[in-house]
Amino acid sequence: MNFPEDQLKRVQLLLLLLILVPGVVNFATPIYNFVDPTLGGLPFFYWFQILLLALSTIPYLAFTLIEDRRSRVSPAAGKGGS
Amino acid sequence: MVDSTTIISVFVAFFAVFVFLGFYGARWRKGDLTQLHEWALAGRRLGATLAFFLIGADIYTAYTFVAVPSSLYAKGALYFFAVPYVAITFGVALAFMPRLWTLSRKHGYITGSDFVKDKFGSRLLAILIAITGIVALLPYVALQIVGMQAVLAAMLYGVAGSNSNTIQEISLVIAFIILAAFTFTSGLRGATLTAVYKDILIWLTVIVVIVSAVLSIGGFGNAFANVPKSPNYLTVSSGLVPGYMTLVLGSALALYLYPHVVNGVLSAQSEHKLRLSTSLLPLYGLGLAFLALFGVLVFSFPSALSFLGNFPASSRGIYVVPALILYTLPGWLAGIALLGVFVGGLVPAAIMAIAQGNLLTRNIVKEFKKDLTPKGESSIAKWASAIFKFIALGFVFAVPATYAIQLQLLGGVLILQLLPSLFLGLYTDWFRKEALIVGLLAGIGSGLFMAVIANTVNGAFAGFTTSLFNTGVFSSLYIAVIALAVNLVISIVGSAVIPRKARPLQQVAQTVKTAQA
Repeated sequence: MNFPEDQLKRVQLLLLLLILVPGVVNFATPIYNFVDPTLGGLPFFYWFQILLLALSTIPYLAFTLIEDRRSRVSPAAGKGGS
Repeated sequence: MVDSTTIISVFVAFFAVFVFLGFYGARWRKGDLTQLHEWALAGRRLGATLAFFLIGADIYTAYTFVAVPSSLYAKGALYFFAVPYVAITFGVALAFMPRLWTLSRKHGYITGSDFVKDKFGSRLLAILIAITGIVALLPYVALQIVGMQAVLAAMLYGVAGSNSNTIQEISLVIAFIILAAFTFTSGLRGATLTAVYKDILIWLTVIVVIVSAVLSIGGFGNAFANVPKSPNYLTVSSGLVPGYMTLVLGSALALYLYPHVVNGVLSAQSEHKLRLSTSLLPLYGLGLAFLALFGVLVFSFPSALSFLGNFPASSRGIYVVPALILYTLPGWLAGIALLGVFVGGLVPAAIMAIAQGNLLTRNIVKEFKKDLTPKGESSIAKWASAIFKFIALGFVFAVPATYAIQLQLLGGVLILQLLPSLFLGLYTDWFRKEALIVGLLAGIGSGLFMAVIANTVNGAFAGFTTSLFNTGVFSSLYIAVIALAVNLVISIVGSAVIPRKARPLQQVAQTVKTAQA
């Protein structure tokens, strides 16, 4: 699949979000700084952050797949020539 | 009762395998080790799997195995910040590292300082970047030595039956000699193969200890019922939330500025393999999260707790993981697990020392002595890395061992000041070198000043036990982030007011434009 000019901007925005969203959620301590609900005895504070760490892999992998495809389609985009 | 003979025999036997792998690594995919990029970048031939393990080794170090559990044990939930830090740092890496990799392959850079010199056309800035990198790694190497020492001292304690300064000192000397010999002989190739071995041992340890410990006390619920009321182990106390957030942010931005991590990145074989291994590394971080919980679990094991009681409070924390290993696993498995923790400090320390040697020859010595032969370059790098390890020892004494994490956080204060030149420089030509130099120096100066103030008790410096600075209005924040703010303000304002001349390096500007297209 190819990325025409008008789509390229949207793809770039998507790439940015795939990195920013997990970043912001992990950073926003007040949203997970609670004891309840516990999971297997672990306070929410702990299990939520562990889960979040594992889930971060999903947007990062998506970023990798899209970026790889982009640089394959137009060598100038990701590879910087050579 | 702990069976010391079995533990030590197994430890030594598995260490022999490690040493064999280290030497075999030097010959593996044979390259000419007298060439700097062969010794230091493994000939840039690492695939996704090996790059994954090598960068994993950069990140999962004595910081993870010793410092984080120790802090969690001594100071509570605040130090769980290491988990969101790891989750974010790989996003930061995805944003900046593939670009650095591409430019480096094209222009033959092997350090971040190489890039800065070419990009901003400033020798002074490049040298300052190299010096900052070398100095920031010193406390980080010291942390690895503390980790290795903890394992040896915990084992020797079992033999001697009592704690003494002699045991601590012997452990420190042995740890240091092994580290120096290992780095000198094998270079990055040796480190990569041993990194894989180390990781197998570590994962085995984490899984076995977590499963057996949690089952034997009947779930995490009981573990949290057994912790002291203070400090707060359940959540971060509200006054420390800004501190927690800035520790996460500062650490996440800092990691990929470290020279040894850049080194690992540049040794990847392709941009695709680099991205793939980076996006999978958060899974690897799960080990870190569970190791951190050892600092909570230890309270449920009276035998392990009484073992910790043999050490003074200032160094007790680093024995949390060794103690849990000794008192929850059978002797032979404990020997393997302790070796995992030991080489978990050894391998990263070697990788860091290699990066320091690399920076010194390539970005400092060569600036003044242009006619250096490749062989001379490689030999200076090897000797320098030995000397730096010696200097790092000094930091071991400046920080009470329980607070070993402060060594890494102190390194972070320095290394984070490279962000405007190294990260922002990858995407923009806008910054002026003069502004970046002043910003860097102001960031480092203000950071060190705050670190000293924050650790001064009753008018005297009391050893590094905190990296948070009380700002009053914004409560306590991680010093590295405040210093970065100072640095950024100066870099931005300075770049805005310094009049623009013609671009000094048309060629570089051209390259960057093509890359941005």
